[in-house]
Formats: sequence, C-alpha cells, structure tokens
Amino acid sequence: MKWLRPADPVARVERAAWAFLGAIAVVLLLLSIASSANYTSIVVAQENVYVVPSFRVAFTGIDSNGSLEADGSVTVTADFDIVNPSDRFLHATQVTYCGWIEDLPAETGLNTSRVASDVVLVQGASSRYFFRMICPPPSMPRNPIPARGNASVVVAYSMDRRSDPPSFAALQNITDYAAHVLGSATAAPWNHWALVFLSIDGVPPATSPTAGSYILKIHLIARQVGTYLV
Amino acid sequence: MALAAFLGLVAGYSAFYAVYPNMTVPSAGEASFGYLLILLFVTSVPAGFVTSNVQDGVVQVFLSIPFSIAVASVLSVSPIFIGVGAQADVLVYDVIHNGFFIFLLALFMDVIGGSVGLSFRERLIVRASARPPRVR
Repeated sequence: MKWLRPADPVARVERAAWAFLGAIAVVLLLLSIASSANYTSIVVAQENVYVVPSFRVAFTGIDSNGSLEADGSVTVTADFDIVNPSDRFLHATQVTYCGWIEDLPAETGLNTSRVASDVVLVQGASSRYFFRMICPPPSMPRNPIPARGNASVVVAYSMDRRSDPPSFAALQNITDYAAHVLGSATAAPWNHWALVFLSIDGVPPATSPTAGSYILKIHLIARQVGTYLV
Repeated sequence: MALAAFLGLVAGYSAFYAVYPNMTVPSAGEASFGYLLILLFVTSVPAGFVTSNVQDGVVQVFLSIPFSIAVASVLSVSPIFIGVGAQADVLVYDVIHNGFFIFLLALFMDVIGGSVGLSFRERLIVRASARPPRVR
C-alpha cells in the first residue's frame, strides 16, 4: 500500500488566481492603451480642426440706378470649408451667423438716424459704423466631416422687406448711398461673424449635470470666424 | 511588487475612467460607479488570495498608490507624447485632484477584497488539511 500526498487545492486555486490576474492585467493594459489612443485622438481633433470661411453677398431687385427695390432682397451665402486632420469623424452640428453692413450714410453724417443702434468700430483715429443686418437663429446642418479629410458646410441667409422691415429700410438706404457714391450697391463693406460647432463622433456627451466643464464640452469643437461686433 | 503594480494599474485606470468617462474605453456619458466597484473588487479578491499573509497584503496595497498615480498621470498626459496639448502639470493635478475619491475607494476596496481573498485562502488551507489523505 502506498500513501500519496493529496493534490494541493490551495496551489491549484492559486494557479487559477494568478492566471485570472494575468488575464485581467492584459485586458486592463489593452483598455488603458485604447483609452489613451481615444483620448489623444479627441485632443488632436480639438486642437487641429480648422475652418476656412468664405462669404458671398448677393442682392436681387437692383434697379437700373443701382438702388435696391422694395421687392428686392439680400442673401449672404456662408461657405465653411472644415478641415479635419484628426482620425475622428465629425459632424457640423450648429452654425450661428451674424452679418453687419458698414453704415456709410451714418459715417458721413448724411443719415444719423441709426447712429444710436450702430456698432462703432474704432480703428486708430477713425470710427466705422456698422449696422447689424442679419443675425438669424442658429442653423443645424448635420454635415458629416470625414476623418483626415474636409467637407464644406454651406448656409444661406436671406433678408427682405417682409422678414425684417426696419433692417431692410436701412439696407436700402445704405445700398443707395453705395450705388451713388461708390458706384455699386454691393460696394458697402460687410463684417461677417460665425460660430461653428462640430461634434466628435463616438464621444458621448456628459449626462450628469454636475460633471466638470472639461467633460461637458469635450465632445464639441467650437470655431469662431470673424469679429462679433458689440 | 507585481501585485502592487497590478493593483496600481487597476486603480489608475479606474481613476482615469472616473475623471474622463467619455474619453475612456469603454466610454460613457457618466462614469458607472457599479462598474468601478465591480472592477476594483473582482481584481482585489484574487490579489488577496495569492498574497501569502496580511502584512504583505497591507504593504502591497500601500505600494500600489504610487503605481496608481503614475498610471492615471501617464494616461492623462498621453496626448503630450505625440506633441499635442500642453500643461502636463495641470493635467496631472486634475486627474489626481478629481480622481482622489477613486484612489481612496481603490485603497478601501483593495483592503476589503484582499481580506476576502486571504480569508478564502485560509479556509481552503484549513479544509485541505482536515481532509484525510487519499489512498491509491
């Protein structure tokens, strides 16, 4: 008869525990590396995405004298070329635009009725007056922007007498002046400002109202173009 | 030391997940406290089991603190390694400051889970020694 040592259950469980710890360590290492890569790509997108804007102002209803007729309108077409050098897919979620036209009659003293509401831009010794012509509610374009690519977001804003009679009257006055003094209704300078919000795909927005500000905004990229006149 | 590094990895990853839940993998709008508790407990029990005694367990729990801070700090400054972003000191301060509760929770869970693992080991030893030897 031969006595044998019993199989050591502690050693067996210990081996299993070490194997489990090893597996968990590998999984956690992979999760940490993936988290680091994810976080880095978000920061790259936050820092490197940029917007190349272009604005076109077009009038309809210009008569032979160059004046804007009562049934005319002005349309500002904003074209935002969004360049995305990051590895993240983006979406343009919100575009806010405001456009001011230089109030040349007010500057020259020919029509001072809008001076109180105009925005004065002081440049050295001279002052320029701007009338806020278009500032609609934000638009939600939802255009996709591919990773390591670019995409155009085009938004058009129109204004006529029906949509905003006081502003249209000011526009008529300013374009009349521009047509008669500068030779073209479109000659009056504009100041464009836009704020473009882009969301980073795959980054869930923070759901907790008590979350830190760095978490609340991290899924959004905000890019401002132009100067907001106040 | 290996167990301390392992517990540090768990605590560091947990702190980073708690501070930046929507940038971690898996990502979420809000850090799941349940996920953190389960992760910390499930890892601390086997770590306690393979620890041979209470003294070693206590030492490895306290040794895991610098490891956890190092892991969370490296994760939070990771964009700087490819030349993006700046202010490493601010990022490290943020993750330690905002993740302080998780570091404390990890310590607490390591002690609790480690004790459970150790007691399981003791019971197994007692049961094995009480069992009569098998005859072949």
